[in-house]
This record gives sequence, C-alpha cells and structure tokens, in this order.
Amino acid sequence: MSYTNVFIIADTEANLKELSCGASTLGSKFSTVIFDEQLQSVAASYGPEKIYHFQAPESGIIEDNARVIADMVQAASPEMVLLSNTTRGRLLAGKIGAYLDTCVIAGVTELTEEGTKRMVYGGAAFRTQKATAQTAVVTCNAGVFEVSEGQASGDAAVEAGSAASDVKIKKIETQPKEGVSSNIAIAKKVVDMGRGFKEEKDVEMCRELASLLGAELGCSRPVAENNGWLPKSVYIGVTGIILKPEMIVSLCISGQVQHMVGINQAKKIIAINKDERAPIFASCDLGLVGDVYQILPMLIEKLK
Amino acid sequence: MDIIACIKVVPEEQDIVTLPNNELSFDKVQWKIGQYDLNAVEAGKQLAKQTGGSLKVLTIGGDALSKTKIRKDILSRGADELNIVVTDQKLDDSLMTAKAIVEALKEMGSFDLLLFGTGSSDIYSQQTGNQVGALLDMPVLNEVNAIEEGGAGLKVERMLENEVEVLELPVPAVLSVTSEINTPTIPGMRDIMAAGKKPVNELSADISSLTEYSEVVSDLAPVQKDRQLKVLKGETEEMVDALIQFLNS
Repeated sequence: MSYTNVFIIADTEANLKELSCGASTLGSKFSTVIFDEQLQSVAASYGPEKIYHFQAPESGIIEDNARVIADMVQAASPEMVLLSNTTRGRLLAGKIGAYLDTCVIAGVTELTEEGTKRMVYGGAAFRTQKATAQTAVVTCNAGVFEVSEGQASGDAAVEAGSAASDVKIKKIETQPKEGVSSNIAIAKKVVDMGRGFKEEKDVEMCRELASLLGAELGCSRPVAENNGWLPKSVYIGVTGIILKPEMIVSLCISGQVQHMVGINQAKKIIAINKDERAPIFASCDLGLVGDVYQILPMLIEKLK
Repeated sequence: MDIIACIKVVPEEQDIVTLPNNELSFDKVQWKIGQYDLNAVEAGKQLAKQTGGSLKVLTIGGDALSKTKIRKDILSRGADELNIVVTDQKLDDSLMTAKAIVEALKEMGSFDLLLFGTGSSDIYSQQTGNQVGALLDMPVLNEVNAIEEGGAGLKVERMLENEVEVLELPVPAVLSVTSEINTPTIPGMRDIMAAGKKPVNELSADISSLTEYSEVVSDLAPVQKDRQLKVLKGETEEMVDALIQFLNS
C-alpha cells in the first residue's frame, strides 16, 4: 500500500523511531510532529519532509495541542495520520479525528493492502477495516513496524507549531511508576509468567530465566492486576500487550483465550504447566507437563 | 455532582461461534453490559454518593436493549435512571457513536460529568469518550484511575505507560476510566428489586442520518498457526534436557 503523504505524531523517542520507520515504508513523503525539542535530530534522521514542533502549555499536557494540530493537518491534507496506541496517542487521535470529522482506527496490529487489521470481540476475530474518509487517523500497537536507526542527513525544515488552544486541564504533578521500563512489546524472546505461581518471590526465578535467555519478562493479567507482582504495562492479552516474538516460554499459563490472543502470533511457544489438560498444550510447540518448581531451578542451573 | 455514565450492551464473547469459513456467528449470543463499562457505572455511583449527586446511564444500541432483563441489570448497578436509544444503525465507527451520544445527551438535560469505560468490550477502540469530549468542547481525559472533587472541579489521576499524572479540570468534563479504578459491586437482591421501580426513558434522538467514516471489510477468526504440539511428561531432567535442545535448535 502506498500513500503519497503521511503525518506521524510521536509522544516519545521510541514511538518516534517506530512511527518514522513505518511512515517511510508506507508513504512517498511524510511529516513528523514532536513535542520535545530534543527529539529534533532523531526525527530528522529518518528524512521527513518537515518537522513540526508543538509544546504543551505550561502546566498543561501535550494533548491540549489537538486542535491546533488538527488545523495544521487539515491544511496539509495527508491520507493518513499515524500515532502510537498509547494513552496520549489515543487521546490525541480521538480529538484530532473528531476535529477533522474523520474515522479513528485504533490499536491496529497490521497495515496491509486491504486496509487495517485489529482485534475485536475479545480476540475472537481480527477485523479488516478500510477508511472511507479523506484522512484516516490510525493508532498502531507497538511492534507493527520494524525499527531501525535513521540514516538521513537530517536537514529537514523545522516549524514551530501554534500555541495550544485547549487549556482547561491543569497539571499538578507527575509521579513516576516504579519498575515499568520494559521492551516487551518488541522483544524477540519473552518469558510469560502465569498465575500458577505461589508467591511474589517467584518473580525472581522467572526474571533469572528471562535474563539467561536474553528475554523480557511478561505475565498474564491476574499476575499484574490481582497479585500486583509485575507492572500492568507488561501483562499480555487482549486488553494488554499483543506479542509477535520469535519465542515465548509460558510458565503456569493455562491458556485462556484472552491470554492466548496475546501470544498466538509467536513463532514458537514453549509451555510448562503441571496440569496435563491445560488448553495451552493444544497450541504450543513444546510442552512440559510438570512442576515448575522442579523444572525451573534445574533449567536455570543447566543454562548457567 | 450530576453524572451520566455512557455504556454499551455487547454480545457475550463466549457465545460467539466460529463458522468453518472463519466467519463469526452471533445467532446464539446473549447480551451483557460491556465489561469495562461496569467500572464507569461503579465510579459514577461512588462519586454521586460522595457528592450527594445523581447517576444516570445512557446506552444506545439495537433490539437487545428492548429486553426488560438487561434494563434491570443496568439499573441494579446503582443508576437512578436509564436512558435508551434503540436503533437499527450499526455503530461500528467510534465517531459515529460519539455523534449519536451527543444527539441523545441533548434530551437529557445538563450534567457535570460524563463517564466512559476504557473501551467497549466488543470493538475496544477506546475512542468514543475522547471523541464525545472533543465534539462537546469539554475537557476530556482517558485512562483516569482516580477521581475526586477538588480545585475548580475535579482532581484526577491518569495512568500513562510510565508515569501517573495528577490533573485538575473544571466541569462539565468527559472522562474514560481504567478497568482498575474500582471493583464493580455485584448487585444484591435489594438492588435487583429496586431496579424494577426505576425510570427508563426511551429517547427519540434521530441518528438515522449519521454515516460511517470507515468500512468493515471482514471479521474473521484468527487462523491458528500450525504448532509442533510436542508434549512431554515424566522425568524432570529428561524434560529439561529436551527443552534445552529445543532452545538450541
């Protein structure tokens, strides 16, 4: 699918890189919207036609720029506006879509000739959807595009955007979330921790296996949400992250459909579970029926 | 504080049948309140109680909304009244849905706060609340994980991927809440009995002229990858060795 004009709107450096790579393969030309001046040289290294720099109002949030960005986009009339499917990306997309009076297709897992693909009905189906409006606003899940470093000379024109016009929201403070830095969405290997583990300190065992394999550690929803053993940003499944790694090692995962839709696109699935009838054994490449408390320590020892 | 929670009645996922050609059949589905909408209703109920206000629910959808059972189910969750638009229109596009909601709200009088769940549990675009806020030109936020009265109106916590934002905003406002903001109460017998006596208003909002901005080409069940399905049991050490061999292959 080829577009002649694409806009990307990036709220973080990682999203900037991924969306830039996506836009440069999708469109013959693209422009980049950033909110952080320090990202200018990274943005330029992917060879956009133009870089627009918008700033959050003092004590406001970057989404306050939605109206002025929509005005700018309308003037340029691109076929597609691409954002990441993050909290900020979604709010920007929704507001810009409404201001432009166009569709937002959110949480896309694939952009193909036929249109966009995204998951619906709790993972029961993938929906193929086509925009019929002039400009489509699309938010992409992490991992839709291959990421590489920018190679361009970096002389794109930079234009300062107009000042934000939505200024009703006041930012009081920002609190960091503990231990959430993870590259799981784009990791090649993943260790997947299920709710069959007994206590929080078992996380260390899983983390050790992950580090020996060069993998990122993720989990099922109950491990993050009910137990709070891992941050919510790493839970896998229909409302969490949808993965496409080379390999995933699923530990004490029973194989409920809501979780399986998050790992089904893995090239290889290895499952360890003591329940022989666990549904995951019907959709894995290698399954070990046994006690994870015996298997894991031995596996870790041998891998060392 | 006068609150309206906007919810969607959706097909129960477990009743959706995959046909041999990978298309889906909805012939046998039961309808239920969207899973994440329960959090919006619960948040509205709690805030209405704290502030001595009221909670109304608005829902727009097809024939499923004509049934007494689902209406009572919605009202047993703490709303004071239910407002319904029954329509043949397929609301697959979030902006179209947002416009329909704006149309329906015109009949419902003023409010201080509109609440949405993080997304509908069927289509899950997570956009309708954002777009209603933009259309109404009100302050709008998504992924709100705590709400209290404060400042010039509301003080909220919003979950980003790596941080939590604390924000203040005036009302009227539009917020979509996270699925972690609360644990929805399961209605008791008293709630269910009381639900039958609460008002249900069928709104006359005309949304027939709304059009979609995108076209659904197909909804197909994911094709299962061929897996090797090699399942081992027995001696731990043999299994571990086989696993290491598999990792190295």
